[in-house]
Order: sequence, then C-alpha cells, then structure tokens
Amino acid sequence: MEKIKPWQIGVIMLVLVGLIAVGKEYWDTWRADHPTEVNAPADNDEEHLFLTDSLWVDYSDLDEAVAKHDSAALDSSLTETPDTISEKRVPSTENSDTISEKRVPSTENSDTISEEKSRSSLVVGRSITNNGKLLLDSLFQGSDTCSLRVVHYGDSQIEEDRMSMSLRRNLQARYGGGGVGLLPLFQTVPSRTVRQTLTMNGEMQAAKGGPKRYLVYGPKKMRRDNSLYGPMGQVAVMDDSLVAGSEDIVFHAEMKQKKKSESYFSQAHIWGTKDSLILLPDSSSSVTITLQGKQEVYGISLETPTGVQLDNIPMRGCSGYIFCQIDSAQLARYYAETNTRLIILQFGGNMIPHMTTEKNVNAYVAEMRRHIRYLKQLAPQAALLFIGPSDMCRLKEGVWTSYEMLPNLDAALRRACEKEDILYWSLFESMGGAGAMESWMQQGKACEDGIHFTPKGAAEAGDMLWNWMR
Amino acid sequence: MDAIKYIFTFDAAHPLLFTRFYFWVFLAIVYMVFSFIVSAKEQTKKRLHLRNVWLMLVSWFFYYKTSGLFLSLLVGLTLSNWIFGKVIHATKRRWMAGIWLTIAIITDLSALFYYKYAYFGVDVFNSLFGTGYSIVDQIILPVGISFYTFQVISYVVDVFRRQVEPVRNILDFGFYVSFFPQLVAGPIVRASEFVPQLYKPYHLSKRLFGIAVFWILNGLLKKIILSDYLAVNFIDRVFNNPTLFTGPENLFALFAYSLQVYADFSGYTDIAIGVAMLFGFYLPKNFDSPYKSRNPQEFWRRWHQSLSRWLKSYVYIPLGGNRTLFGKKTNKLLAANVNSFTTMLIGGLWHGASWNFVIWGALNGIGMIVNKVWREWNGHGKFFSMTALTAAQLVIRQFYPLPVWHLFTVWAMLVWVVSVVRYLKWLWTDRDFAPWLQTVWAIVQTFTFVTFTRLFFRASSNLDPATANRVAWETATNMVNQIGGAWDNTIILPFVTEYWKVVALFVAGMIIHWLPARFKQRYRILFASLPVWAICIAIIAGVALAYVFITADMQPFIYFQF
Repeated sequence: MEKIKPWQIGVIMLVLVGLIAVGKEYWDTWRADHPTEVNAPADNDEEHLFLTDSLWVDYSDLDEAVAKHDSAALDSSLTETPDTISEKRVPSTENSDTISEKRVPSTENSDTISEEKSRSSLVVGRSITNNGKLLLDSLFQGSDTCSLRVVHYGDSQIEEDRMSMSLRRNLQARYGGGGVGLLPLFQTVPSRTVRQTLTMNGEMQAAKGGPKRYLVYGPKKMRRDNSLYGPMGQVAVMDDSLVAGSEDIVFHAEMKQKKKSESYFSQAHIWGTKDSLILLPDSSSSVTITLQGKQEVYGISLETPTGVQLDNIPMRGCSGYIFCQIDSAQLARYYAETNTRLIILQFGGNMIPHMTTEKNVNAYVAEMRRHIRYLKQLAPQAALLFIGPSDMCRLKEGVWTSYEMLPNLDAALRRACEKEDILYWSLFESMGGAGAMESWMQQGKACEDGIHFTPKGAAEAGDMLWNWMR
Repeated sequence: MDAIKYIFTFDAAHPLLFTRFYFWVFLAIVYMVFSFIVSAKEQTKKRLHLRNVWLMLVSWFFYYKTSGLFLSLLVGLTLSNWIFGKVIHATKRRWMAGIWLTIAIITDLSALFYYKYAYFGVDVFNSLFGTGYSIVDQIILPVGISFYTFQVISYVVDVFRRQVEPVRNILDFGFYVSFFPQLVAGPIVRASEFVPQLYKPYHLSKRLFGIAVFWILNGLLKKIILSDYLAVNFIDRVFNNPTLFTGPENLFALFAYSLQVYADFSGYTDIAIGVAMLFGFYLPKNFDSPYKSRNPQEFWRRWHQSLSRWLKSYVYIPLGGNRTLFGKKTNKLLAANVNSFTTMLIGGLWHGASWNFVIWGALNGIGMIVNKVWREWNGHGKFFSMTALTAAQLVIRQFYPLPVWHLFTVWAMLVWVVSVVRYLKWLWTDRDFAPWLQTVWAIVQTFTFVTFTRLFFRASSNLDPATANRVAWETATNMVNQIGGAWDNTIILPFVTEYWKVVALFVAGMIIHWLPARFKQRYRILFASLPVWAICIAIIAGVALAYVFITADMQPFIYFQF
C-alpha cells in the first residue's frame, strides 16, 4: 500500500497553515476594501418591511434638516387645541350592556369619567425636571386620588412587556395602582405578565376570520384608509364582514404572575367606538369580556381608579415614524382622559442596521423630532422621555461587533431631545457603551441575535431606567 | 512578550477550539515533533512510550488552554484511576475488588456531580423540602468533564471485568485519558478499544491519510456552515424569541435546529476522528446518519453511538437489561422497558443538569417504549388504537382549543390517514407493498418525533438550573403556541425568498445527510485516492469556503408578522 511518511504530513501541515494564514490576510484586506453595500430599506414593500415608513432624506447636516421641518407645518389636523379635541371624540352612543359579561354594570358614560378625572388632574407639564432628570414625586402628585398614566411606546425591544414590567412594578409600588394598562383586543405577541385569548363563537381566534386588525406600523396591507388607529396604533374592527348578528367575541385576560402589582385591578376600560368602563371586584386578576355588534376596539385597559398605570405598547419593526399618522383627536383625548403624565418613546434600534453615515443619523433624528413635537402638542400635561437604542451587535468577520453608528445616533438623539426640551435616557451608555451587548449575551442578559434582551436583561434594563428616573 | 503570553496562558474568552486557526498551528507544530519521534526506522517500545508521553503533554497543554487550572482535576482523576485500576486488578477476592471499584466510581462521579450537578441537586432539594439553600461560590463546569469521567469509569469497570489489562505506565494511561482530539467533546473512548492501541507502532497509509483529511474537512464544514452559520443567522434568533416569528418560521427553525445540533456535534467528532487518525489512532465512529433512523431505538443506535454504547454497557446491563428488574427476574418486556427508560433518563441528565434534559430523556424513553409496543401489534390493533387516539385528540381540541392540541390533532390526523391506507393494505394482502415508501414514512415520523423532543434540548449553558428550566419551558411553550396557532400561509413564499441562503443550506444539509451510506463511502474513498497535491488544494478550498461563511455578513432581521 502506498505510504506517506509522517514528516511529509508535518511539512504539508506547516505549509498549509502558512498559506492559509497569508490567504486570510489577503481576504481580510480585500473585504475591508470592498464593504458590502447597505441598502436603505424600501418603503414601498407590500409584503413585509424592515422598518415602517422609513425614509432616507439626504440632508447635509442636522440643522438643515431641522430647519426644514421647523418651516413645515405639522400635521394639518393639529389645528385644534387638545381641549376642543376632546369634544370631537369618536361617538360613544351605544350602551355597554351588550359588552359586559362578568362585572358590575357600568352606568357611567365616558363623559362623566372624563370630567371626574380632569377635575383631579394637575397641570404638571413637561418641565418637571431637574438637570435633565425627572422629579417623579411632582409628576405623580395626586396619584392617591386619581389614576395617572405612563405610556411606554417602543419597538420589539419592549415586546412581551419587557422593561415596562419592571418600571410598572416600581412605579406602582411607590405611587399605588394596579393592572397592566392597555391591551389590544387581539394580542399576537404573548406577554410575560398577561395570558390573553380571544375566541369567536367558541373557536380560538386566529389571524383570519375574526375582527380585522389594522396597524399603523405594519406593512401596507395592514393599514386602513383613515387614521383612526387609537392610542396603541392598532385597532380591531368588527364590521359587516364579521357580523352575522350573533358572533360572541370573547376577550379573556388573566395575569400570569400572582402577587405582583399588575395582578390587582378593579376596572376594565374599553377604548373604542363603544367606550365603556366596566367595574370589577377589587383585586381582580382576570377578566372576561364579551363583545357583540359592530364596533372598533382600540384597546382594553385593566386598571385601578387611583395610582399609576403603565401601558406597554410595542410596535414590531417600527422606527417611531408613526405618531403623526394617528388621528390627533384620538391621541389627545386618550392622554387627557387618562391623565397621562409621562410618555416614553423607545425607538431607533430598527434603523441602526441601515445607518452607515452621519447623514442617515441626522435624517432619522430630524424626522423623529417631528413626531415628538406632535406628541408634545397632543399631551401638554405629560413629560416626554426618549430612550435611545441599546447597544446592538452583529457578527462581523466572525467577531461580535457593535454597529458603528450607535454612538452617533445616541449623541444625536440626546441633542435633539435637549432642543425639544424633553428628557433623554441613553440605554446604550447605561449598558456600558459599544461592546456591552456582547457581554450581556455572554451573561444570558441578551439573546444571541445581538439585539434583544432576555427577560433577565430586560428586568435589569428596566431597573436601570427606574434608578435613573429616581 | 504579549505573543508569548497569548500562546502559553489560558484565556477564558479564547479557548483552544478546532474551529480556531490557532488550533491548526498548534497541531502542525505538535505533528512535526511527533513525526520526528515516529520516523525512526524501528519503533521500539521506548519510542512508542516517548510518542505517548509527547501526546499526553501536548494534550495537557491543550486542556490547559481550554479550561485553565482544571487541568489539575484531569491529572488528579488520571492518577487516582490508574491506581484504582492497579489495585482492582491485584485484588484477588472479587468482593474486595468490587469494593475498590465502587470507591473508584464514587470518586469519579463525585467530581462530576460536584461540578456539573451541584446547582441542580440543591435546586431539587429545595423544591422537595421547601428549603432555601444556595451555593455561594460560583462553580464553573470544566470543559469535557462529562466525557473523561465516563472514560475513566469505563476503564476501571473494564479492568474489574477483566476485559482489559491495567495500563502499566501512568504516562501511557494519562495519554489514554487526555488524548486531545477527543478530550473535549468525545467520542467517549472505552478502555478496551483504545488501550491496546497504546502499544501499537505508528502506521498511516496514504489512503488513510486521505480519509483522515476527509473527516477533518467534512467536520469543519459541517460545524461552520451547517451549524454555526444556520444558528447565528436564523435558529438562535427564533429560539431566543419565538414570538417574534410566525408559525412556519418556528417550525422551520425547529427542524433546522435538529440539523444544527447534529452538524455541531458530529462535525466536532468528525474532526476528532480525523485528527486522531493522523496520529495513527482510531477513535470509534460516533454518528451514523441518525436522521435516517426508522424508529427511536434505531435513532439511539445511530446518534452519539459512543455514549449509547457506554450507557448500554455500564448502565442498562448492570440495571438488569432485559432480564431482571431491581435485581429480580421478571417479564422480559417489562424489564427491558423500565431499564431502557431509566437509562434514557440518565442519558438525558448526562446532556445537561436541569429538568428540561430529564424531560427530553423521558420523551425519548417513552418514544422508544411506545414504538416497541406498537410494533408488536397486528393491523387491527394499530388501526383501531390510532383511530381512538385521533378521535380523542379531536375531542380534546374541541373543548380546549389551545395551540398545543391543535398541533397534536394535525399530526394525529396525518398519521391516522396513513394508518388507514396501511390497514387497508394489511387487510388485502400480507405482501410487502412499496417498502421504500414505508421506510420514507418511518424516517419522516422518527425525524419529526426527535425534532419535537428537541424543544426541551436547547438551553443556555450559562444559566443556573432554575433559570435554564424556566427559559427552556417558556421557549418550548412559545414555539408550540406559534407553530400550533393559525398560520398565515402567505408569508411562506416571502420567507423562503428572504431567507433563501438559510433554507438552501438546510435543504442541502438534509440531502447530503440522506445520501446512501455506500455512495458516501465511495466518494470518501475517491477523495482519499486523490494525489497529495490534489488533497492539499481541496484543503485550501475547504478552508477558504469555511472562512467565507465565518466572515459572511449576517442575515438582516426581517419581520413577517406584526
């Protein structure tokens, strides 16, 4: 049999190792000289999208971009003041008898609720800050007599109630209150706090065949032809296609974890074209609501009449460019009637993979400012807090590497928030800056996608936010 | 100075792994020295001993670079088991030798239990007795401990059973325990298979050299492309966050995970086998295309064969095999089933110290037993039991319309339809009809079953058992909910288009996996018969391909469900 001498194998190995080392150097150099093009996300994609309503505006610098937006009028619907808007609410004429099932009948209509709440509301404004920090006690003053609200909007980083859960529990421990706040009628993303089902005529609700679900942040096929998306940016519509006259749409929600603040609530507020407040026994931890007839549901809030409520509103794939597309009257009414004291916006992460230049960063921040101003006008009584993206990384040349533009975006967002006189919290810096995500992954605090937190990481990020707020 | 420090000191962030370039430099240098030792015209005992010592020393260096000062544990176990082997062999009275053997096994298992199962044990104790004990010090799991403790146990047991003579020289024994190719991830080499090789002179034909290179390249490409690339670009994301993905994506990820686990593990052992072969040592085959299995028993004969054989020899048979149960003679079927179920539970726990691995082992055990019983039934039994099961499933789903029941119902109905066809065939004729079709169906069923047990297999290694259990359970629940929930079929085509690389790699991987063994053997021999220069070019091409995948840009995140 043909033989090969061991020293020959040794030499072959050494030569090959040397050749491969040289080849690797060449390949690395070539790759560095020929980076992969990062395409701007398409905004006309019908089937799916990387981001919602993304747009790349080729501004040369941030100031130019901002100047352009300053001169542009805000959304034309924003000509009325919030006070007058509250009267222009979607009619709520039908009574709530057909809606309720397991509850004490509600005799109050939403007008009286709104009046009661507005009496107890305090004009706190967004200047409740001290050197860029919130004065929490001032912000939530009055929580012992009425319900005050925090609305936490964000992208997939806050799905499953991540981060919001820690913040809610901390706020409710300090200022009272219970319940999880707003839930969509039709939940497609499970939450860590709530187990939620929707059944129609006894069948488990599926993506098709039940109430139609429209999203302001989804792909175009999921949009509707008007801007009535409600405060969650999504609506469930029960219309002619559904109604044979006898459909029972049964919403059921129960808290997953006992003895936590969110598992004690005493009322369910349905926000929709048939607004109603359903009073429940004290310390309820589950609720079943039957809905019938044509209506639109923007969300169901599980809450208490006093203390602090926090809504977790995740918008998958969203860059944050959606607020101006939601009916201003609906938003203003929600913020006013719920005594919204704090609106948190947590966006930017979906843009990062597509940002390669400072121009991209500026364009994003400039557009985001437009939406911030919109919200400022609609919720004059609320403080606004923007949370920038976390550190994010991807495998580059086989090594986990943070996205290069993250520090730039973080800094640009901070500057923009200063100019808009709203608060900014840098999650990126709090985590430890560039490279932190990799160590979070190693510690089981972040998923192996280099982007999302695990429940453990989300709890830690939520606590970091709380500590910063305090 | 920094370079020297980098080469010779342990860095937890950069362990010495087969997929790192540094390993191959290390190997080339080790081999050069090795070639000088074995190149002598006459391979005397002294030379062979020198070869073994050299390989032991570099193996210890390798282990130090992988696990740091846990090297002392490896050395300690080597020393103690070498002494135990000698003592057991020298003890004339069987019962006395048995006591020595028990002490040896307890010593080995104590090390394993302390490092691997301490957290789990405390967790179980706390939940049983409502206590709140915790382990203050952080216990780090030494790399490969599950493999080398099993290896030394096999040695002392084989010595006790007189299947192997005790190794005379401690350095030779040290080499057997710590031979670096199989030290970290197997295969588990039994003493009776390896110890005789310690005294055989080096021999490697050109064809065997080619086969060795083939195994190395095969393993490297499997590990980097079918395991790492698929994992990073798709599978990890879904398992980490199932709710971000739709039902079809979750199902695809689950099947792709089956391929990934196989490619990862078998890729690593392929490299180990190839590297060992270059040094003239033969390690047992560890995987035999497991997803070709037609039933769960066969799967366990083809999957991680060295562990299956180990468990059979040192757990299943001592438990009583198919003869006795708890030391008493009983019904053969009962004994075999209970003992194999217990073996599977232990096998599950060997893979990881948390309940999800126990569940995984139990599911496999149940699968094996059900299949064994099922195969004994005639056509009537099979058809009517399947009909009853499907009907029950439909009723359950009607009253509890949960995704998990939906999923079971779909599967039960599919199996039922096939069982109707088989029943009709059975009534009509005894003849075997389209055996290949039956084989395909059996493979599909086994692969699907094995894949769904993997829902409980994946757990992050850096979590404590309680968290690992919770995370694994949540992942399994979320994935089942997504897969068993309503599907939006319109996303399937865009998904395939957007993730075409991932899908194509999965399909290609499965096709290669399912190629006939004889065909694979043929191209392996063809490769080995190539001239050396052609093999060298193949190596360079293979490494280049692997590197392209290592450095490839990541698949961007795409959402299909909102």
